[in-house]
Amino acid sequence: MHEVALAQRLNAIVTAACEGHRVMKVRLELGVLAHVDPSALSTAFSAASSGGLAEGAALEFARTKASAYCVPCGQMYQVVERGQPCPACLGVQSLVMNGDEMKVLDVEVDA
Amino acid sequence: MSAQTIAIGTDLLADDRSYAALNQETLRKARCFSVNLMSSPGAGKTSLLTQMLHRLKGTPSLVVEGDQALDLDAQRILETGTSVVQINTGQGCHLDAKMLSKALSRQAAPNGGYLFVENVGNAICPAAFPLGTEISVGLVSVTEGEEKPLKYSGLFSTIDIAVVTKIDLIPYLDHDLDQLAHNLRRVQPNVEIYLTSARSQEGMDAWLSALAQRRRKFEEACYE
Repeated sequence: MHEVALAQRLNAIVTAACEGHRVMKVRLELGVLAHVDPSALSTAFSAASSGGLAEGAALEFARTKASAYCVPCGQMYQVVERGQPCPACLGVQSLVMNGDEMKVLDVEVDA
Repeated sequence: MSAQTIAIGTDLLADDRSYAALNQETLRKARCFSVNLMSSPGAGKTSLLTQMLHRLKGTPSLVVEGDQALDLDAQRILETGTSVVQINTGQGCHLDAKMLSKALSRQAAPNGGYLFVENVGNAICPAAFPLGTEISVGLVSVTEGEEKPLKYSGLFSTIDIAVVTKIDLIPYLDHDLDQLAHNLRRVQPNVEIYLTSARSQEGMDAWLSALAQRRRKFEEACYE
């Protein structure tokens, strides 16, 4: 449900950056552990952008990977969810290092 | 007409992070130790908080209450003699740093005291929005089940302290506290865990002394 709030932020960022042009596509980097559901964000963005320069623009997501550091054995490994055991020692005391990024990469405009 | 690409490279939460940094600066200047309390609805945030406030008499506190509607929780806080700012988020499911900033401009954070932010009861959305508070505390009640931290790992991975609530109900449940602690550590290996009951007061001393110790460390750092 917080995708509505995120869509409003996204619309503000895109509208400020599009130099008055009509926005056709918005590319976002989304970590696999980001607190957001892409399809919910797309739906919310349709509503948030309605009547503005980004109305009807498609959202495109570049999903980035997440990595974790196993505290007991020092192994770095890729994860797709939090609490995922270490593949080397099977321990579950790992610190997730990244993967919750939500970044607006660029927009494609009709110039 | 031709397509053209304009690079942006902006964090979706850039504005939130600016407001959060502003809040943190304001609070540090006031040497006010700030705590963001998050949980699903009904975990016992307000009950825990009112008991804490009764016991923290002598240290000035401010509570910022986030609810979708009404000021019922704010009334309960007021009854303890503590100042409170109510934020109604309407359809919004979380507090954000701008809302907190606005609340702090209505009622200043108490110098050398505590700010408790009671976030909207929701185990998903509040975790995504940084407020600028010094620590985050996640509550989980024993009636919710041991797997809660795994199911809502987004929230439980961001907390510094987990407060397990309603432990007076343990005799009536099949709750496995060890499994709950294991699951909490699985999503946040460094989490500190306190077992409490606002009703029987069990565990409140340990939880509050841990909090006081964190506040002392914070104050020392403010003076450095």
